[in-house]
Amino acid sequence: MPLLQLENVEKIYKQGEIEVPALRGVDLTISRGEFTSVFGPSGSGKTTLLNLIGALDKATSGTIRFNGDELGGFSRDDLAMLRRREIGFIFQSYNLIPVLTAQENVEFALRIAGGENKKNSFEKARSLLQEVGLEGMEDRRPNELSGGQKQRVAVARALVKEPSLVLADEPTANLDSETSREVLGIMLDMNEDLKTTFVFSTHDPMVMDYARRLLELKDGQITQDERRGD
Amino acid sequence: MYYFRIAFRNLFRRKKRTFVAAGVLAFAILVFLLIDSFMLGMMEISFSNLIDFETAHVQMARPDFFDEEDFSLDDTFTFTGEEKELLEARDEVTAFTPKLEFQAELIGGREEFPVKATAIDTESFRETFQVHEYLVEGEFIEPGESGVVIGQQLAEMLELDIGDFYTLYFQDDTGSFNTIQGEVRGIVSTPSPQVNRHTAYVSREYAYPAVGLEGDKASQVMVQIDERERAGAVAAALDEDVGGGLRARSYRESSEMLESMEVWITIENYVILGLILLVGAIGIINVIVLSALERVEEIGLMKAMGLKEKEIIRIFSLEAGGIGILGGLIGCGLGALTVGIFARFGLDLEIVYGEGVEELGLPILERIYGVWNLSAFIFVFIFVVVLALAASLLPSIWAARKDPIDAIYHR
Repeated sequence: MPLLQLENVEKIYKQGEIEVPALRGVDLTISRGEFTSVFGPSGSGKTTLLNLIGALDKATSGTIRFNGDELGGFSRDDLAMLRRREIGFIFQSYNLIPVLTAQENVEFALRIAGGENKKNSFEKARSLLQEVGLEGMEDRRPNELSGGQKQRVAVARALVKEPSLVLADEPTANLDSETSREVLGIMLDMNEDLKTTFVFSTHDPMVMDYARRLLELKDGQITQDERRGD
Repeated sequence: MYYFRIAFRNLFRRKKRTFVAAGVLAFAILVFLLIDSFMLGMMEISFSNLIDFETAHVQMARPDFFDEEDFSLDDTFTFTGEEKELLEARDEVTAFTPKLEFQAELIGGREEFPVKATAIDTESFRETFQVHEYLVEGEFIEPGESGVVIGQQLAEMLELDIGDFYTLYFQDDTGSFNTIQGEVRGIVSTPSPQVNRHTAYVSREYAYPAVGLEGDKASQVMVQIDERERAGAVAAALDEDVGGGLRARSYRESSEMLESMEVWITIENYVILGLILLVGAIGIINVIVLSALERVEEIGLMKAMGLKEKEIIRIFSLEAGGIGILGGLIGCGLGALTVGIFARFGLDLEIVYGEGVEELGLPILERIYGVWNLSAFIFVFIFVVVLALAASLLPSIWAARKDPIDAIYHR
């Protein structure tokens, strides 16, 4: 069973009386362990697509299945529970909780996902922060970290609960090329080690270089679906 | 646990805002506690003065005397051995004294002034009341002597000094006008305006023949007991047991004004609580709305991480509760300090009410001391915390219901 299945998905935003289609009849299947990059010009619907498959938004029409379950029938709380257990997010602007340290930001994601006690959560978060190269910085708050370090924390936070899916919206947009490469390398390692599914939206050619599947969106439609060998 | 941690740290994220909101609550609490302490102090000293100088804890008299309070000699009764035995049999009773009160004009030289002439059994009167301890000039009257003891204000008004002649002019038991005369024996300055200004004490042995009554007649019997709190129960028991058409009542019933004042204090406390409610609620709503507006992206992130709306509401409510606790602690701390100072050093009523202090009609002519009221501290603390939580609810729901996408991308 594929992890994600989109059938004829449409998303229309209303701006007053005007209807603006963001996605138009998208059909897409994503299997477990894929490392997929969605690219396309601004306004092509990349972020909308990520929001829909991340259960942050609902489609105007069509069906989205996550692990075979159709999301259209989920309540807001059901969607929240799905996100907390199955989906990790990485945002362009990091979006860490500023009052928590790096360690606490990662640990918090694990604790709310449930299933781990305090001691295990602490150790798992610490170990993951070490893996992303933040050893010794665990007790720093976001305002004491550089952009690259913050994005590493965000990666660790997204991965710590071992989700089925990680969605990353322009994850390298605010990073220099060297840091981008390091962060992407970490995600690729996690993808290989944990078989976590990654879906990126990006303009960054470097991200596209790392991807094993490339989806091009134009005017709300998938115009290219290219798979690459290892 | 993490919700507590996030909420706690967020409190110190905008320290000034948090402390201003908590400060407003603290100030309101301080005002409430001070007024509560002041009012209780006023009631405490009012009742103490009433008991020590005017009414004792319990009075026994004819119902008409209580109802009319015109000090008519028609409302006297014979204070026999039966009533004395009834009082002596009760363990709570520590002292009692019969009084005969009647309307009279006190004449000193060319001046005269209406007073409540009070014929007393000097020995038992001294055991029951404290008037004799407040002598500023002369001595207290002895049994059978013709002297009078009056308050300092009355003496000043009539320009009477120790040794000056006085005349009490009144209607006797038959309705005929009669007088008693003598020298001013003592001048007292008590905390009771009623005693200082309106009362003339004479010995019953000297007054009764002129009034036309037998020596065992009284208009009231004043009873002191061991504990003020038991006055109501003792009065009720005596009221049931006493015969001869007499009634017994407690000091509380004898002062409708003080009883009304207690009600007024309660109402005033509710008004202050209402003001706290208004000011506190506005402050808390303001803080939560500003906080939510500032943290829109954070709310979006938390929703993306899978926090439910009620969990986000919980975080904001905990923050509001934290402000309530902080305000409550500061307010109660400052309240304890100021009430402590007030309880120790007191406050001269003239500072508050100026020269008009006597016109208040309160049985107080001295400093008022604050009263510790632990229940008020506990109540107001819980009140502001609950208020903070309640006031934060709507803005928290508003914050939690933000669309996660709009919030994350700050649209």
